[in-house]
Amino acid sequence: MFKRKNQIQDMDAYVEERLSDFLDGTLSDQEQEIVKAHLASSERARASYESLQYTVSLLKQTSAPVLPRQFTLPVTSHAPARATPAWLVWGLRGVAVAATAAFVLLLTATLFRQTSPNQALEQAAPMAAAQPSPSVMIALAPTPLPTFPAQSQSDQVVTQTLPTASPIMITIEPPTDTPEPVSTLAPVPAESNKAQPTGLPSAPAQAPLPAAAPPEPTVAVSAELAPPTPTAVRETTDASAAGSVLNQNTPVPQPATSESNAQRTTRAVAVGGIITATQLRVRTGPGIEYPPIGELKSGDIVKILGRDESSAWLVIEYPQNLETGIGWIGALFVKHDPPINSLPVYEPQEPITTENEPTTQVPEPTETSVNDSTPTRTPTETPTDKPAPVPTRDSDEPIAPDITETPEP
Amino acid sequence: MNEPDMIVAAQQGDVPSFNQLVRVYQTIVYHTAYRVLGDGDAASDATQDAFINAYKNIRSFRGGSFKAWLLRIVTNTCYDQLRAKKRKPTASLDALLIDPDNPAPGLGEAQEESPHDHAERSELALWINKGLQTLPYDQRITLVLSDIDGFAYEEIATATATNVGTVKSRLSRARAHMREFLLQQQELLPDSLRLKHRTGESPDLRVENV
Repeated sequence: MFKRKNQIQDMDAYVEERLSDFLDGTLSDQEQEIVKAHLASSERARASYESLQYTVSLLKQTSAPVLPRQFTLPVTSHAPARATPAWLVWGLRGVAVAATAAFVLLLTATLFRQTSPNQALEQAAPMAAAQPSPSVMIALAPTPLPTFPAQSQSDQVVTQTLPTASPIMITIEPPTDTPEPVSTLAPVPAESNKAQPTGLPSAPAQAPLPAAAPPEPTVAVSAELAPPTPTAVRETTDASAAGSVLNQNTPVPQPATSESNAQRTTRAVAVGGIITATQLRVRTGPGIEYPPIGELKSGDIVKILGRDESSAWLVIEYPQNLETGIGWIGALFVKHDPPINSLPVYEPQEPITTENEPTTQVPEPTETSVNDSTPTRTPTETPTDKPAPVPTRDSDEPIAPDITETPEP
Repeated sequence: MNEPDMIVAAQQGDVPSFNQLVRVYQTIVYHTAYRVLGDGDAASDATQDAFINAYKNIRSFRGGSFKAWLLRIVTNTCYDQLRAKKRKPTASLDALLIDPDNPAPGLGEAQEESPHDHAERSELALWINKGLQTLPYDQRITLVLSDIDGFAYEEIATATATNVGTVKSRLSRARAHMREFLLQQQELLPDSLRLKHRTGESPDLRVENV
């Protein structure tokens, strides 16, 4: 009698543990049978199951709260995505460290100067100071030193929030057009010639840049020990920050000059568009004589990269086109915000049928290089007239036979 | 543009593409945050933070379910929010939740409902919200993701950095806990919403090892 009751209670506990899974149907067949059988026999277990079922159904019915607002990010924040904060932080820390090292060096140098009445010694001092510099820097490198208040501030700003970070990035990047000082971020102190080899190592690694501007560092040098402390140091940190930005910025094939940055914001690199036709064919060229390579439907979002001369056809990013990564669609069926007239005019590709015409095409000088952020695009769309506007030129046919005369749109 | 394309574009720093993703997921993210945090303002903050974090880290996304990856960030962001809140508790959460004059936004919004039904549902939703807040965080997020948001075990496992087995057991405990909570509050609920079981048995029903 007792035994039986215990058994039932044990079973209740056993089943109770599995009710949740039973509800979701994730029990093994065997367990499922056991639970089912027990539910049929035990009223208590059944009540338990029903109430659990009801609880879950209540949860499932819970209606979604109304979205209080849109959570989209401000479009101005271009750079941050490429600039992963982790390295940015480290970059700035590195700058801070470099600044500290520079400061320490300046201090020691001035100390040397004051203590040594001797002229010869005085000259030797910077040289001597030059030697410790690398070791000092290496020792300091891994530890995140706050050092200058200005430095730590900027550091924080960057790490805190994206939207605010973006303007910072933009302000930092422009110095990139004089990126060479980067190389001298370490040697800031007086002994430029001595220190260069040690401070430089980061520079050659990062620099596809036309490194040709040693003047900056020398300026810092000529400024000599005493005065330069606050301003000079900050300058160099700025430059080096930009340098580190560049350094880590792998996807950018070209060193972004401040101009190109400015352009990026103003020039319509790509315009977003929404398809309005219920079905819209994507073609290989601007005209229905070109074969369709895919279809878009109403509501699809496309990235408009360019247009044909008449603006009746638009070039969109279309990765499904493995050859070129682009596709053409009729402009009538796309809604887009900004006018597309600023977009580059694309030369259409030859309709595939004609292979045997090695016509030397007359390239349009109106052509401009397209934004470099989409690596998939092959150079076919940009004729070879321009003196190398496109960074992504592969070793395709240099005088592309597939780019031919325009079939009047 | 489909989702993978948007992700790739976003990884290359294209904010509009990322915003496409935001538009797709903001409701579910906000919803989750709202249930987990039990407060609209906190949920708003957490949602914004989560998307910012997602944008910052989108390069670390290497395929798989973007939704689950995003939810992982949401989970962590909400957790951070809760910890921050614990450090400086401003208003009483309870007062905020029970206050009948100040029902939480968006609870029970079905239009066809009569005002009476609406009130009942709102109240019930408040209690569900309150019950959720009594759950340990792990169980709460699991329950929200599973039973309110309707995610699969695997996605929840990814979102909470654990395995499916743990998800199941957390879910089981959380459901049982919620049931007990609602049973306890039963007298506070309108008749029509009382849990359907023989009232005579309710004392027995309590499960010992919850």
